[in-house]
Amino acid sequence: MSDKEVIKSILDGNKNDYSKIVVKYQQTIFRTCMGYVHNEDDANDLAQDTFVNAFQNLHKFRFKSEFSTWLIRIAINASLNFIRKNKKAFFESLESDEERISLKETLLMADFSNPEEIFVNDQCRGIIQVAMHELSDKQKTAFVLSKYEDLPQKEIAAIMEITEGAVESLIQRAKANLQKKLSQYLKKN
Amino acid sequence: MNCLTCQQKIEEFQSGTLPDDLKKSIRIHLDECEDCKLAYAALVLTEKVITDEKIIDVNPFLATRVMAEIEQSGMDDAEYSVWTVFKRSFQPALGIATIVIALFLGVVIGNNFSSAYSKNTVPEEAIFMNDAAIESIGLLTE
Repeated sequence: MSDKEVIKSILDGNKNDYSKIVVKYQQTIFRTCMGYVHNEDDANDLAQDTFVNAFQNLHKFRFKSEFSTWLIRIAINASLNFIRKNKKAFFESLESDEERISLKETLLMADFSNPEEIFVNDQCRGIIQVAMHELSDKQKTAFVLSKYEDLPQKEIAAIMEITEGAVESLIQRAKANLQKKLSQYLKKN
Repeated sequence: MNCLTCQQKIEEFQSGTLPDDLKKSIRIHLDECEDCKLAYAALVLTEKVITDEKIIDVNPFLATRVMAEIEQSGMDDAEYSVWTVFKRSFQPALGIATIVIALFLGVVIGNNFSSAYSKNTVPEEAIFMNDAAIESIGLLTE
């Protein structure tokens, strides 16, 4: 059954068919949310909210785009709203970390020839997550869809309703900003 | 190898798509240059964090949780279709009808009030007033 057929069946009253949609897209939506919030529990809650919200607004879906595009857009909005509401708490939790060590020294000693062997500690992970949080909403969205979902630029452009050129530019700026912020942080610490 | 070239090629170096000679010269430069090594570390660590987050699996009970929440929200099949039809067809019509009724009532009530206060009759003093006898204000100011 195609997405269109399943959605029509749900709108005709076969509500239980919605579980097929959830099972099909749950990992995609979870990964997208994870790219924004970097926390398993929060990403699961956001994925749940996304699917419930999509069900409640299913009659508004006009089949003008792919269903996955519409669903991902709902997940992005839910994640961005979540970040706005919890931004202060998130940054405070990182600032209160008292077990700071000299990252610079650790990294300069590290051997990066085999990235899979690298152990990323919580402090380092937190710094990278904060750097991602500090990107603008558009840069963050283009970066998450490209890196976490491995979506082609054409699909990202459809989701964000911008041109492919603009997507390319947003991804490049996001990467440059991330590298700049992280390098500056590592130099200081 | 200078820092600018190194940092321009660092992403390709990390993904392993560079020719061997260029790889070797970047590796030598990274061993010597602290700034470039930190830039490379930032790139590798970011990729590592993303890869680690991507392999986490969604809660296996997500579909059950979603369906339970939909059940709890009280939208059973019949309600869902009635609500859908209402939202699609009757809500805009109801809005327009409310505006028309409000306008009609406003006109009717307004007309009733005006008839009570304005009687369209000329006051008695005005009947005996001789306009010709009234001096022009212009004459007084000259």
